[in-house]
Amino acid sequence: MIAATELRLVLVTPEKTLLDQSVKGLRFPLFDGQIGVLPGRAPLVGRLGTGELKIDLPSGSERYFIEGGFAQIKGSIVTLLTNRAVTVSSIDASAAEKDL
Amino acid sequence: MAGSKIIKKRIASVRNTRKITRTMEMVSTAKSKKLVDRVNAAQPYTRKLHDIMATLVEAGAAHIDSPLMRRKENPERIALLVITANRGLCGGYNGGILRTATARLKEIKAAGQNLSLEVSGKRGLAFMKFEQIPVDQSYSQFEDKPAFDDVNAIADRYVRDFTAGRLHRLDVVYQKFLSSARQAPAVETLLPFGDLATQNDRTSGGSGVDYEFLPSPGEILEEIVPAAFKARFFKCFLDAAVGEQIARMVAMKSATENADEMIRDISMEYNRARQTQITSELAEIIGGAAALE
Repeated sequence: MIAATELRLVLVTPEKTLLDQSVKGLRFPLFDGQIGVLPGRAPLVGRLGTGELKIDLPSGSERYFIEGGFAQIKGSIVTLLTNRAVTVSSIDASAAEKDL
Repeated sequence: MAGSKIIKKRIASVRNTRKITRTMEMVSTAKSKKLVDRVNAAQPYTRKLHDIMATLVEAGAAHIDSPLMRRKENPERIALLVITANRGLCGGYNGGILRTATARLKEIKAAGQNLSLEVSGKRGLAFMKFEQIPVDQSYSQFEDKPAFDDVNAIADRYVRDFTAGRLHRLDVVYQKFLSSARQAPAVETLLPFGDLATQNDRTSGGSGVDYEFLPSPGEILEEIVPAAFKARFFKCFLDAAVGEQIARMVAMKSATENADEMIRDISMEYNRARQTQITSELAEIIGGAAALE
C-alpha cells in the first residue's frame, strides 16, 4: 500500500470556517497534551485543549491560538471545531495581559 | 391658485419620504445578504458537531447523562428570553415576536411557574414597559452583527444556572430563519437540551470508521453537549438578526411602492387642478371679451 500523502485541515469556529487547505502536517493541543498529525493518521475523535495550533505548509508554517473544542480525523481530513481561533501574530501580549 | 401649490408641496414631501425608504431598503438588502452569508458560514460548525455526536452515539455513548439534558418533573423556574430588534420600521417583525412572547408568558403564568423574563432589543423593552411587565434582564448591545463571544457570555450564565439548579427550563422567542423568503416567530426550549439520538437519525456519517477516542466517548459527549447548546443559542441570535433585516427590507420595499403610487395619484390630482384653473381663466377671458363687444 502506498502511504497516504494528503492531509487536509478544516478549522471551524461557530462563526465561520477559518481554514480549509492542504497541509503537510499539524500539531495541536488535546485535553491532555500536544498531538502531532501527519498524513495517514488513523481516525480519531478527541477533545481539544487550549493552546497553540501549528500548521506546516509547503511554504512555511502558521500558528494559531485555539481555545477548546473538538477534533475529528477521518480519512485525510482533519476537522478542528473550536470556540475561538486567532493567528498568533494578531495577539497583542499586553492586551491579553490586561484581560487576565 | 392656492390648491395646486399645496398639492405640489405634498408631492415634494412624499418624494422625500420615498427617497428615505428606498435608501433604507437598499441598506437592509445589503445587510441581510451579509447576514445570510454569516448564517451559512455558521452551518459547518453545527453540522460537524452533529457528525461527531453521531459517531459518539454509535460508539456506545448513547446513554449519556449530561447535566444540561436532565429534565425536571415540575419545572418551576423558567427563563424566557425574547429577542427583538433595537429599531423599528421593520413591519410586523417586532409585533409578531412580542405576540408570540405574550402568549407564552400567559401560559407560564397560568401554570403558576416562576418566571424570569429576559428581553434583548430596545423594541421589546419598550413594549414590556408599556405593558408594565417587569423585565429581569435586558440586553440592548446586540446590533445587526451578533458576535459569538458576546452571545457566549449569556449562554455561559444559562449553563451555570441550569447545572446549579437555579434554572429549570429556558425558552427562547425569536424569529426563526427558515429560508431567505420565509421567517416566522418561534418559541424554542433550549434547555434542557433536546434528545441527541433523535437529532441524529438521519446522519449515518461515522459508520464503518473505527475511531480512536481521546478521552472516552462518554467524556467527549459530556463536553460536546454544552458546545452544541451554545451553537444553537448563537444561531437564535443570528437568525433574529437576519430576520430583522429581511423584515425591514420587505417593509421598506412596500413603503417605497406605496410612495410611488401616492406620487402618481397626487400628480394626477395636481394636473386636474391645473387644468381646471386654466379652463376657468380661459372662460374668464372669453367672458370679458364677449362683454366688451
